[in-house]
Amino acid sequence: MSDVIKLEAVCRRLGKREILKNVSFTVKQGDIFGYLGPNGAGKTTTIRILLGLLQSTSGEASMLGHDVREDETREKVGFVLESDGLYDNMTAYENIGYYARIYGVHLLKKRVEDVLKLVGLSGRAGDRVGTYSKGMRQRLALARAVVHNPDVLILDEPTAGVDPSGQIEVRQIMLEMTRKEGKTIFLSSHNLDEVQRICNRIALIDQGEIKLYGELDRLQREMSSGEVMIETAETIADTILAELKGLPEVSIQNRMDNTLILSLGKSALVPDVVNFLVQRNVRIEQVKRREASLEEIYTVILKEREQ
Amino acid sequence: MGKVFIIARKDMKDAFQNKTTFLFVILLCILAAPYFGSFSSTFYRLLRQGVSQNELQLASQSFIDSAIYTLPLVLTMLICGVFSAYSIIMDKSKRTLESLLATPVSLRQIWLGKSLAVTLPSVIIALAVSLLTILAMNLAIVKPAFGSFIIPSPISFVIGLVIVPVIAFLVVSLVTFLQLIWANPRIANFIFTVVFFGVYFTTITGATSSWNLTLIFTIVVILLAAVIIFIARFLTKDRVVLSSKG
Repeated sequence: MSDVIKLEAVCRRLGKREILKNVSFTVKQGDIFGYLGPNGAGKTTTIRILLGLLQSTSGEASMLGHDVREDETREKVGFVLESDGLYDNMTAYENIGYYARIYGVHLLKKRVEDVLKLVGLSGRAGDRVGTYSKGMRQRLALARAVVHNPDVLILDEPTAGVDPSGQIEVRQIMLEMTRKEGKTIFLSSHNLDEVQRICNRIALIDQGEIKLYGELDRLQREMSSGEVMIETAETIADTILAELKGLPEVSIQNRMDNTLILSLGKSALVPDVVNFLVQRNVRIEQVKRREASLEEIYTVILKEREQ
Repeated sequence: MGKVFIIARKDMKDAFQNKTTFLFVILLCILAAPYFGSFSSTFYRLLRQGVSQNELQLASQSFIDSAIYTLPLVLTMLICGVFSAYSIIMDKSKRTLESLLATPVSLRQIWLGKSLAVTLPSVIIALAVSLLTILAMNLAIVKPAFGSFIIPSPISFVIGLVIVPVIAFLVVSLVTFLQLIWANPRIANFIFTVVFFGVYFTTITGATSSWNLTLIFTIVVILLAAVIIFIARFLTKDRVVLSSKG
């Protein structure tokens, strides 16, 4: 997979304040890349640099192999910014039509109708955007982002203010775009659950520095607490449990009927524990390693900062 | 140029969708009335003084030659001040400018488009009101007295129809530039007020169109253009984005 977005040691200074400090990451084609961080961490500045709105003080930022400041780069990029940037006095159709003209979209009328249908706003295409709810505005901003069929989407909180069913729809649209059309999505969000559901890779920024970056699955595995859940056909005898406790770096966290939750230290291996139980005629039905949730990862990283 | 006109067309549509614009056109017609009144009183005063038909015709020609550029200049500056309040100021406060900047439109195209959107309708309205005023002067006073119309001289037409719109465009470009880079874009509109009063006090001196006046206006155009070319290098997206709210 080729690199679609590449940031190399990007710094941005504003007066005496360093907003971004050596920010580096790559987003590959077809990724849904989650960009996380608390307020004021530097997310919006990164997005502004990616869209050529701000210049980096040092470092390189490129998209689709071109410098982000080139106009041609932005022809292939769609965006939803923190503020939707829609014109209240214009209808949804006029808003999308205006941007479609700027992007030089062919068969404009059909394309505008298609994207409005995609985000479920065909029925209100003739209404002024000033009468729209926050959720409808976000969906319209998404329609604007895709009207020119871009290769990359830069989305800043696209589901902020959208009701749960709207959030599901927006997520569905994003997933379809990557799966069916191979688009790359850079998603900045505070919604950890959303990121965990749809993103395959993430970066966590705090105080202008990237604290965590990589594939979400791998990070979840690496940062798991070492908890293993074992489901058995019948309740394990107390004697076996006592023996189990005696194994090095193994402790029992919880026991509910046929489910046992163990905490394993670094040297304790899951196969060894499974063998131990099998040798004692325990019939194992399922073994699951409990991965760290994104929320847990996020909390750990931010706690490290506070310490 | 296509993108420039897309931006300009949208902004002009916005301005004409606003009812205040039409009220303003009525106000301009009222503001043009003193010109008519001044011409009328001068004309009948000279008539009462018993000046010759030839001298009266020359005086009328001189007044109309002056009105064909002073009236559009004053009115254009006034309308530009109103229209420029819709464009960048609204775009900055509603954060629509940032979205526009994130598209493949260059900052200069936006600058040009926004400036044209203010200048074009202002010049058209000002010229229409001015020409109507001159037509009214001819129909109500000149035609009954001389039996024919007094057409403004070619040089005054050049000043009124070419130089005045160019000056208006350059002043608007300067104001638009300041609106783009200043955190409080409303302050830039004071330039219109300053230019308006400057133009107003210059025009009441009643300077008639002449080659000398054309030369002075041309120098003003060159100076303004030079200033704009110089300041253009300071227009960056960084400045625009950081001067916007949020």
